[in-house]
Amino acid sequence: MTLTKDKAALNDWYVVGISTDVTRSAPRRTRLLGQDIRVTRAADGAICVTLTGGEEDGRAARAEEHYGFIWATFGAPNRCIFPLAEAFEPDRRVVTCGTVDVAASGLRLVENFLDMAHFPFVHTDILGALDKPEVEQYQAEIRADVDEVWATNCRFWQPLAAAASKGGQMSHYVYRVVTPFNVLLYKTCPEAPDRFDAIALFIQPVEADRSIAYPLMVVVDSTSTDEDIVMFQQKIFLQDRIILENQRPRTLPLDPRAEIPTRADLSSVAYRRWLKTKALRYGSYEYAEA
Amino acid sequence: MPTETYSDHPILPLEDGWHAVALSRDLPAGAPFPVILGGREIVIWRAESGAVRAWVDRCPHRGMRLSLGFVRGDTLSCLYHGWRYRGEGGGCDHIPAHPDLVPPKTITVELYGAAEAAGLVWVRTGEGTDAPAVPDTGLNGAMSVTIDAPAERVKAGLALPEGMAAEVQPVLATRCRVHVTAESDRLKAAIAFAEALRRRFETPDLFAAE
Amino acid sequence: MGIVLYNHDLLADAYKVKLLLSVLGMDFERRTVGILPGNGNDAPAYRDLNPAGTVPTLVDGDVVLTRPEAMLVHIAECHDTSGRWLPAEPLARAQVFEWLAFATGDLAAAEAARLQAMFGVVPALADAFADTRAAFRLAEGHLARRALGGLTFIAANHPTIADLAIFPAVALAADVGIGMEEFPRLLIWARQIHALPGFITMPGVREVI
Repeated sequence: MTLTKDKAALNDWYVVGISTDVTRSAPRRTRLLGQDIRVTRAADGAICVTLTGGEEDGRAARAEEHYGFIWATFGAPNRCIFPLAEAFEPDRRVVTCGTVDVAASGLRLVENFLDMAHFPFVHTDILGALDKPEVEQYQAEIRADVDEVWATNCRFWQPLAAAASKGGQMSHYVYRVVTPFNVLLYKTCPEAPDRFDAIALFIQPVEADRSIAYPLMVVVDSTSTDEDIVMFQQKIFLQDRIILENQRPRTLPLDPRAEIPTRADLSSVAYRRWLKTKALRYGSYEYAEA
Repeated sequence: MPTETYSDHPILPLEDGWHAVALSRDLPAGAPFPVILGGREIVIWRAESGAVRAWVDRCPHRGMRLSLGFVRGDTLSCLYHGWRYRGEGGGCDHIPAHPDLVPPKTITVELYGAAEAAGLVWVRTGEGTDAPAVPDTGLNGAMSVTIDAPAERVKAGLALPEGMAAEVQPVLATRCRVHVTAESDRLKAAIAFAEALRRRFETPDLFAAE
Repeated sequence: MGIVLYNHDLLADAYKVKLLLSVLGMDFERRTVGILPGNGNDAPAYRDLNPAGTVPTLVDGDVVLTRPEAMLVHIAECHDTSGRWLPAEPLARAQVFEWLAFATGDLAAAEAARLQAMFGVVPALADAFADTRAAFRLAEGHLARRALGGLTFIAANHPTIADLAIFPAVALAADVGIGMEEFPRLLIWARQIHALPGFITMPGVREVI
């Protein structure tokens, strides 16, 4: 496997590990954009990411830590890691939820995260009910000023919206795609209905059709244990994984003739259009190494 | 078919015509079943009425494999968003996210010809509407086995015992599936034959010692 | 004090026990062990209870069991008034033990392959995927032979704990990336389990069928 030459992919930040998992005695070996890397923690606590193998063996990649994760880039991103204000609120539970490997393009993972119409079928009796499958009209747009995709006014009836839920609720959602491989959602908090829980999915594109998913919960919840919160999220994600690994192609087709959206797919339509404006090819069906 | 190329596997050239892909007894009503035919990902399923259908294993919405879907009457629905397709013609007739919408006629799955004969389910590649030119052997389905060897090699080395028949289906370049049928008093022997055939091609050294 | 199950909702071994408890309509107390991620199974209190540190662990009064197939036998023997889940009839009983042993032995590769595919857990086996396929082929051949006699369950002409011991691995095959195109009899057999009164799923096992 070799490092991609896709410039848009190279000039962005990616999660490559969970901060608490990488200690001085426990380095991490993994792969990003086709390139093997080693993630180590130095004596002073600083995180280092080094390319291993290939033409650039030994080069250091830029690395930072945010929100409980280790972030790396091989290029020169034109912006910092996105802001996530909720992570700093004092009464928030900020819970990393382990990792899951998925044999699918990270772009497919983002689209699945943005989608509500699958809730009754894939997350039956949790995030959706089979007798209430309708997706009401919502809005989706590319926000050029922050270079993000936002979907607003999303609503869905949910039998069990979160670990803290005691019964059903009408969940309000706002979706926010911060980079092609990193997406967040804000949803009605069962415990404090005037506030939003934030759930993030950070994706490490291992190869064009293989990913590692890092879910993050940033929630207001005074009753659940950390394990309850992690388990709730893991269960949801593993239900999605069966779908993700069985989509064809495994990469995301950007050709509009390949797949058929409906009104419920406004956010994915905006997302695919945004990817094209960035000339991001890595992870798409049309991607081919030059 | 353009969407065939979205398969996980390279598409192998196949003669236009009918290919056996399953025993009829292995396809009860109500259960969609995945088939890989020369790299093509295909879903076969039997409606409650008994009619057998064969489609490209891919929902045109977001590419989800229909073989993981669910059958209701003579319709097959996709597991991802529940889009429902009619067995006759493959047109979408219901989108749960928009229950009042009449789905446009452009939303349709891609069809293969499907038929049953001689105790087997057949899929047709290429154009044409003829029925499979297969004599009705009157034999019953015994077993299907997947063998990690090229179809041509297995076909050439079949050595069928009396009272049995076999159809070899190309799966991938180095994998095939053999569908064995037999007379009703030879079914147990036919299962043993199918498993021995697999051992012969997959572990020839061990097989020689048997 | 009823049954206590030290549990994790993502493990096939815990699922098979919960499946039996559910089809029997039995209440039980579940306590989650913090793994995947985490090392809750290494906590001193857990290791005292189960020195092997495996999950699940079942406690029923004075009985402490650490192997899921033993749990299935115990629950069926002590709590199944119908006597069908572990039949007394010798031929069927022998088949149940045969296929419980298969679940413990040959089929262990399936969970190893699954944890590797999903969480990168390195298995002890050299090729967990190939071993899983080999185990599935054995079960497929067995079901093909039984189908000749009109028998549709693994060990008897009705479901037993042998079926429940094997079902999770088959139902979770997609987690491993094993497609069912090689295993029509397994697919047909698995659908019967979905139809049992008291059937429950786990993440990765389809709800709508």
